Amino acid sequence: MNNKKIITAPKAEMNTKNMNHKPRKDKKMVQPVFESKMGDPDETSHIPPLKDGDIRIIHLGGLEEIGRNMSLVEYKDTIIIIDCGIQFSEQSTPGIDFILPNTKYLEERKHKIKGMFITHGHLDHIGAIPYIMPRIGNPNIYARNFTQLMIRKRHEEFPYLEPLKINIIEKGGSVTVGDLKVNFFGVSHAIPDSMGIIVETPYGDIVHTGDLRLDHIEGVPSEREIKQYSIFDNRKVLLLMTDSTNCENPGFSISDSVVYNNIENAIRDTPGRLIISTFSSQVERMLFMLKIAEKYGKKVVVEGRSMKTNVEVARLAELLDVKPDTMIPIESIENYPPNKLILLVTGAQGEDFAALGRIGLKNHKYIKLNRFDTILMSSSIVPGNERPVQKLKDNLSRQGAHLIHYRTSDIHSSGHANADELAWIHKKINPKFFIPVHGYHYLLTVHSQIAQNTLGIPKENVIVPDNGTVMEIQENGTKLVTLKESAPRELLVVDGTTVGKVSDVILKDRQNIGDEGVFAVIIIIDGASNRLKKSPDISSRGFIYLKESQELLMEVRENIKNTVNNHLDHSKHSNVDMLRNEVKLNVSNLLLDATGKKPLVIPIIITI
Amino acid sequence: MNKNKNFKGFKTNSELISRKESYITPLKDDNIRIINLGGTEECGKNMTAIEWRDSILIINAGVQFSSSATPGVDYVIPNIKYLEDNVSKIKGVVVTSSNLEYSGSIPFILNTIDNPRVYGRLYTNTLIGKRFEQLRIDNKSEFVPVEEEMSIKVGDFDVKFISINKVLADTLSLEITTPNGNLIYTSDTKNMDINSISTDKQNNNLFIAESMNIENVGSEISYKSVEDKLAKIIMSDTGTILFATFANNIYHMLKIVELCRKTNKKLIVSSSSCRLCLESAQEIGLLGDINDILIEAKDYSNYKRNQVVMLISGSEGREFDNLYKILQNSNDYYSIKEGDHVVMATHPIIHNQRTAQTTKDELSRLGAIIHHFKYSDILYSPSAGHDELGTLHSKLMPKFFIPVSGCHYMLRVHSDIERKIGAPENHIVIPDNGMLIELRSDFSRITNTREKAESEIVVVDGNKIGKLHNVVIKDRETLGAQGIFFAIILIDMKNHKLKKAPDIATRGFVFLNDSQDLITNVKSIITETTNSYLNKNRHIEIDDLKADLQSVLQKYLLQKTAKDPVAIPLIIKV
Repeated sequence: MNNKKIITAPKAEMNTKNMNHKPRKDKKMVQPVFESKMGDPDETSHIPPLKDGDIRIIHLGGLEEIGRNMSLVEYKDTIIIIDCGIQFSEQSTPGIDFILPNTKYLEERKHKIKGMFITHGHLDHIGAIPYIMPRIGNPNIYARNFTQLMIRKRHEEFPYLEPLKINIIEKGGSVTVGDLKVNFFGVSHAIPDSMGIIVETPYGDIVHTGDLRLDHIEGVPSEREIKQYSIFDNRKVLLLMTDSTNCENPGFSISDSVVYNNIENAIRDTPGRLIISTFSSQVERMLFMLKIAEKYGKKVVVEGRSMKTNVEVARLAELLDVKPDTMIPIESIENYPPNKLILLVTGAQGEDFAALGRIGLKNHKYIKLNRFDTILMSSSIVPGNERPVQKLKDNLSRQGAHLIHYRTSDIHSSGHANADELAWIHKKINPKFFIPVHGYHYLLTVHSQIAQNTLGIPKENVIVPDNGTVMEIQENGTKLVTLKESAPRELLVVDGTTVGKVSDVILKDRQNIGDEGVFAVIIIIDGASNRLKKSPDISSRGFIYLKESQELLMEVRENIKNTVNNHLDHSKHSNVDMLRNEVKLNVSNLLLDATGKKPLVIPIIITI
Repeated sequence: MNKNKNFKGFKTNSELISRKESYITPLKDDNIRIINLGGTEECGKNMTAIEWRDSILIINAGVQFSSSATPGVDYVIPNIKYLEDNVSKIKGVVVTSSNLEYSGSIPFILNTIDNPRVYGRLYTNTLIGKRFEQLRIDNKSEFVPVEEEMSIKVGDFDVKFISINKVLADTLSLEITTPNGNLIYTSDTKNMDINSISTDKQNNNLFIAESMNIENVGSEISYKSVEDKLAKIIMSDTGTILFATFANNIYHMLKIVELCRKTNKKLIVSSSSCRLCLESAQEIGLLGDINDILIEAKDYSNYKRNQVVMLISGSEGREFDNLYKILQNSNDYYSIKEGDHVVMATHPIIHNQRTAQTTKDELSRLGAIIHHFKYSDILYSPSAGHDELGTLHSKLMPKFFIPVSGCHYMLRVHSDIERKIGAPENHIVIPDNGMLIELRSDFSRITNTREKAESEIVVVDGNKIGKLHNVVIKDRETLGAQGIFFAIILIDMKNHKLKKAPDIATRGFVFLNDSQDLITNVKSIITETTNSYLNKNRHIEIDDLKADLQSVLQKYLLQKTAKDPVAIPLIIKV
């Protein structure tokens, strides 16, 4: 066991695929088309230039969602960027692969960008790097060792991109980029080498903690944390920006020691085979499990791509401290007695194609469940995934396996601080101004209350911003203000090979036709005689089962014929747009009356 | 549902519910057969049928709310093929809760099973009657009100109604007596009055109990604490108070009315679901005249903001609809202002917690004060949590046990309770929908027979009731994520060639203005493929050409965009 203290899992970790996301065939080989038309070339010229001596802060993502975290600090001729993450798609963005921070503001100020600092290696902090770097001139990246290995690993999937310029830094260190000196300090999170950054300004420090929690035993922070935060004893902190993910949860989170104790007991005492699922981003917990498994003479199989990747990165970082024969390939599980086997698998969020999902659906090549198996689900449910996870639990328990879930046992704790942990951190850092980050708007408002209640920070010194809100520290560090102008904040997405803005029309159409279906009618008009050439053709998908609705189709054809003939009778030169609208209206009404459904009616009018 | 103004009633598509008699061994040896037609693989559409001698007694007929697995569908309802095949044996339907998950399917299915008698508490019956009207379905069944302690004869069954929870006006449990033992079905166990169950442990018992809140560990909240919380909210004077969910539950409705009166606040009942609840309660005298506090929504502005309580809860499954409308500003008399209170509750499985989060974000943006309860912390769902059910099991010490009402995993967790108090494995059956369970009439043995009643899912989709067509659902899934791509190809039959360049129409795919090159290329690929086909074949087989075009089209679009839309070549001969 390495002597690093192990920390636990994020509540709303970003390591799950969009549930509706289908694996695509040959996607990976296709190079994204970077859409050139990102709106007007000077989309941010309405924002006044920064006055010399003032400090500007903008969060380009992460304030209205969990994910796509990206912040910037601008001072004189220098912009530094903090994190560059993706958000996974959800209900409101059907079919979209990822959502990126909108970086238009940076694209138009490339020359000022002096560096990008990455706080830790989770996808909601590093995932957008391959998509964003080409847009902002590939600036220098500064990250700790484990983080930079994660970044490099991900970049391997984008071989056509320019190589990254990565500088490895360590906690306690500092670097000067342009007009700003940046210091680094260690924080406890779920992944090794997590850090916060301190940006020195003439008026005091700007502190961005990244994601964090406290290492504590039943509400008493450990010596290590006390030491870690003692660096702030002698600093004058102007502004604090910190993690709001779990600020709605009262008190302290479950202690690591409790979680680890329970996991160790499960590994030691489970009579049969033990399958453990957790977030693959839980690198520290995974390393702990490997170590404990070895301690009790068990063999470990790591199954699932992201988990294998992260174990591989841990090996590269020399954090994987187990004997070579502790980890065995999945093909050889038949050679070991079940009570010697620990299987670490991905898929705790109910993703059908992840390892645990396939086990549940009985189509995993090597792992077949039986009633002597135990499954430990050491992770919480990302909001929105409740039903897929329930389905997964049904599928697993149906095969007789015994399930231990975090809701009924203390086998999971989040990597993000609860309310009282945050209060402790606020006291230690003791800032003049506060901006809550990393969470949904409601969470930010709750966090801003914590700051006001804990330190008595006056209301005017706290801002709850949105993505793109331009904030400035003005008048020699005495005032924190919000500008009325904001940086572009439209959604920037990866949709197949397209990287760009997403049209609302397309998303609305997808939502609509995904519920009600499509009904296309093809109308061919003979231009010479100005008559309908033939009976209209109909093509429909996702609406109703047409084979059983021949009568309805007849009725629709009749209706269209009447509409078209009527229209042509009354106008010498048929107005195609008007006719299209008439057909659309009449057919929609007819279908609604007949079926109670509102499919998207698409009249296609062709004149020959 | 009922989106259409000229609604002419629901169509049960006879071709959709298969007419084929599926053979199931008839019941024999005086055995008692228990079939759960819904509610044992999901939260919702609860329905249990008990068959003995010449009688079938149905307990509940609920709906399940649509999820991402059934896009666009209104409700999922139990598959009642088994009942249709045995319609002559059906002697009655008992409804144990007014909640849609227990009673929502009744208007859709009664007609199909020859309109049997329905037994339920007066409030539940009245409310169901109103739902028939709302859906514009004729009710041809007789609704018989029953209350606690009543015993009735339904066919061969002696049914006694019991009330485990003494407070709720719409819930029931029941006990069915047979010569050698009793069947106990519970569905109102939350905050139970444990002493209300006086069962002789010497008796043979089969216990059938719901599992909706089984994953809720720890002690239950009390009525007193719920009341206190509601009182505290209603007494607040910072703004208007909105009940966004659960006010259409009779218990909560009565409490809110009482508290409004106490605090001299005015009440607006603006959702149709709450109105049904209010009317039903008044009709049966549970609630008297409330004209002293009731005001019209349009008069809202005549009162002080902090003097008004508004009930906007949508019906179950659509609880938030009215709140969304207000958030979209489509309500002309009211909009949320700073200091207004919004009271809501969600269940982790029934509700999408992500959507709830978005709603809270928007509310907090407007300065609203949010009170977000867990379902298990209010009284909307009448079933008990893990620990309380544990107490009930220990008290009853049933001989046999069947957990119902819940997803499979929840039933399993529930069965663990029974195991812990010493029940042998073969005395517990964890059912699936349609599973035929048989209990020997001497209560010596319970078995899960190999036979299964039909359990394929049946849905209400628009105004059609029938089986779910996988093609349609798969298409909806693809359309919803990838969009659709039509190519219209006109073939001049006389000259055996393309009439004109192909036309393209797409929706939800990629933004066409940005993809002119793509469209140009697609058109030329289609032209090439079509020409090459026409050159090779004198006789045109539309299906062959269509297959060629489809594969070329799909491949090209995937390669260029990494999207996989529904691609449809439409070939038209002119």
